[in-house]
Amino acid sequence: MLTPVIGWTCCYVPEEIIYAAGFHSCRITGNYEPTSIVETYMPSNVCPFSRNIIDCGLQGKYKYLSGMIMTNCCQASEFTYDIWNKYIDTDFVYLLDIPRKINNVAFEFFKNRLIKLVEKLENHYHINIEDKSLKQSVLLFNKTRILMNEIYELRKNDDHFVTCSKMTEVINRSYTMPRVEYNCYLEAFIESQKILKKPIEVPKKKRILLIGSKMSHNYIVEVIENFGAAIVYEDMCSFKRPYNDIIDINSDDIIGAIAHRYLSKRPCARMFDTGTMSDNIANIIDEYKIDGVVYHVLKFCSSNIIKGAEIRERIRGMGIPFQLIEGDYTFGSIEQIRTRINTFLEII
Amino acid sequence: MTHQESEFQRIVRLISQLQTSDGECVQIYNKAIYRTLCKYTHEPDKSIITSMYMPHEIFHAMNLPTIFTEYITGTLSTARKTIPLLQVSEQILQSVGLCSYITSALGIFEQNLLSVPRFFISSSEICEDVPKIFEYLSMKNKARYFHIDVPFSEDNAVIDYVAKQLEEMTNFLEIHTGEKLDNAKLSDAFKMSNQARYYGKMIRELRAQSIPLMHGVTGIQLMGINTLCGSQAAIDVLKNHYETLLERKNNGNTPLKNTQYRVFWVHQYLPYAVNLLSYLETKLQTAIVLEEAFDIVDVELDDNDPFRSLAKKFLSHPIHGTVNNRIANIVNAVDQVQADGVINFSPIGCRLGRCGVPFLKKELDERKIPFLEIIGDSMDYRNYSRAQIETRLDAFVELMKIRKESLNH
Repeated sequence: MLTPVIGWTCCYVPEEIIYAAGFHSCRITGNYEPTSIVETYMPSNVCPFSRNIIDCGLQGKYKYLSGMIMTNCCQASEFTYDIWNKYIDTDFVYLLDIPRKINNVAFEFFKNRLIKLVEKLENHYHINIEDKSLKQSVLLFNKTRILMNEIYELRKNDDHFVTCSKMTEVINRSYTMPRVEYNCYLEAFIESQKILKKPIEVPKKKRILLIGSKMSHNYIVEVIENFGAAIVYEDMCSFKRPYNDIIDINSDDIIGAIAHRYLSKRPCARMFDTGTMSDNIANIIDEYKIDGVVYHVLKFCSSNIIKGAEIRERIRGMGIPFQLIEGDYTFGSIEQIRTRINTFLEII
Repeated sequence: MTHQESEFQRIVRLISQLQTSDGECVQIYNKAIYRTLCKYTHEPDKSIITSMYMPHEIFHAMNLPTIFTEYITGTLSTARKTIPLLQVSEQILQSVGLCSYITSALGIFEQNLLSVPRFFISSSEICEDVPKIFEYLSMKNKARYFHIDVPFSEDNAVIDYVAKQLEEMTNFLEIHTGEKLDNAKLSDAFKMSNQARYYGKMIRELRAQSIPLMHGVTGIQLMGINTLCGSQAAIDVLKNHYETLLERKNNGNTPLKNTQYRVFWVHQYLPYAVNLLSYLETKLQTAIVLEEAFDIVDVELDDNDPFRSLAKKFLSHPIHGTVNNRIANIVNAVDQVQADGVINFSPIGCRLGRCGVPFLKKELDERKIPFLEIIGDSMDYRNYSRAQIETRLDAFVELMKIRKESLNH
């Protein structure tokens, strides 16, 4: 019998809980196609990612999902939940509240939300999610984090450099592959990278940091790489950010440990972090000897657009060129983006 | 020490001197805000810029001068002073398409319209652009920022979470302003807020059951009345307004004569084009009988449990949480006032406003109530075309006429 699937959209959703409940977890990323029927349900000034997944859902492309967990990561996500709940036929649709602040009060609240999620899953599917299965699940996902960090350590070494295109492929597999198999895949990948010496001459290339909104496709990445630059780090929720820091498996309060890890991970633009995000980016620029920063935002994503202004000022203050690219989550704008990237790389 | 009047202060002073056709309530409201602005200028160490949907009772109890950003930009739009603000916003964000009502606030200090406050305080309730703009402005202007995180859900844990943050905010303000939150003053603020709520409810009930008693623009202009709740000014505004309307009802002397159609107005309007509403009310004989913006949250504040009580009020706003809450509230009001139609003005960049439209339209379609969505930019009047909107209003009134005739047959 096939394992039922629960989808999720935001990397603040703990996959460990989905897995411990006996489900296969799958990140919903849409299909990057121009939207067709979403117009009746969602206006055009809403996040193109949300519009895309709703469009796919309305077309019946997520019929394989038994459940769907969204978050209040932004207003568009909240509307996505409302529309999904009303118009898309999925057995279990849930919105998980994620605090926007990182302190003890927020941590206690988030722990409460995770307990509630566990209860909802238990009641809806008539299952028991025991601490033992949660711990087993945490072990498995911690292993993914350790392996992913190993890959990123390898990437620092120019001889074993892994391109951003390849990283996109590696990380996209995590959204669909069963976790045990995915960990095996990562182990094999690391071994192959250690053996292979790359012909890529990274030191001669312009070193780019890619940051901003979610991006699970390669088209902007390939444009940058095809112009001869190397993306040496990506600070996005669709790259390494979800894999920083492991969960304390020895904790007596496993839900608390999960809550703590998820809330204290590297923040995204929606969080109110008193400069942590900018500091992190400044550290990456130093550590990875970055020559230029490409900041990709999805159109109408207010968190990333407004946060981008703060980050741009910080980065330019460091004397590093900065380029804002606004995307619409389709391949349609690629030629405009190509021109902008080309010019940007010329001026670095 | 004398303080020079800021440009914004000057505009508010002038606006507060204007006579309106719906009695003195708007004047009293603007004068109260002007007084706060004077205090804001004279006591910069305590000055706060915040947003409309906040627990203002705490600010009033602590006697802190608090101005809300929607009032600032809305007033500047009325005075047609927003284009330089929008230019600053575009320069900073390098992107258009977000809510200009909020993003234009980026230019207020750069254009020297108002002095930088010591604090920015906002919540994630209703609008997600406000907190991010405030976070940026506080960073840029070296002011302090406090954020109240409001979850999407509504249950006891959420009330506790918000209540704890309100306590944190109070501590934050006590530490940085030196003003203590006195229990007796908070209790007074709660009493005044409850009394203002009483008059607000009475106004709604009176309007719902009567012939049109006032211009719709007055209701929309009073949408920030929540920010005065906790002060005597809110009672003064609403009591005055209630008494004016009651008198009109009793003697039948309403400024809207020969009204043919009753509409419910959803969301905002174009502050720089108020006369558009006069066209609707006078030329098309269509009265705005109630506005979504003039909404009174019906939660009694209890000084025995102040922070939880405020959190409950905060979370009970119909725009909080799932869109179904908001739509149910609108549809309920539409039924209550027996509206012939619904007009929704959506500011172009407002996701909250526009995302509710498909849900609202569906509900109204099922009731066969005509619905019109007008999309416009509340701040940018450069592309405003009065004639285009008038044509749409004309057509909409035709629709209401056809519906009414078919119902009569």
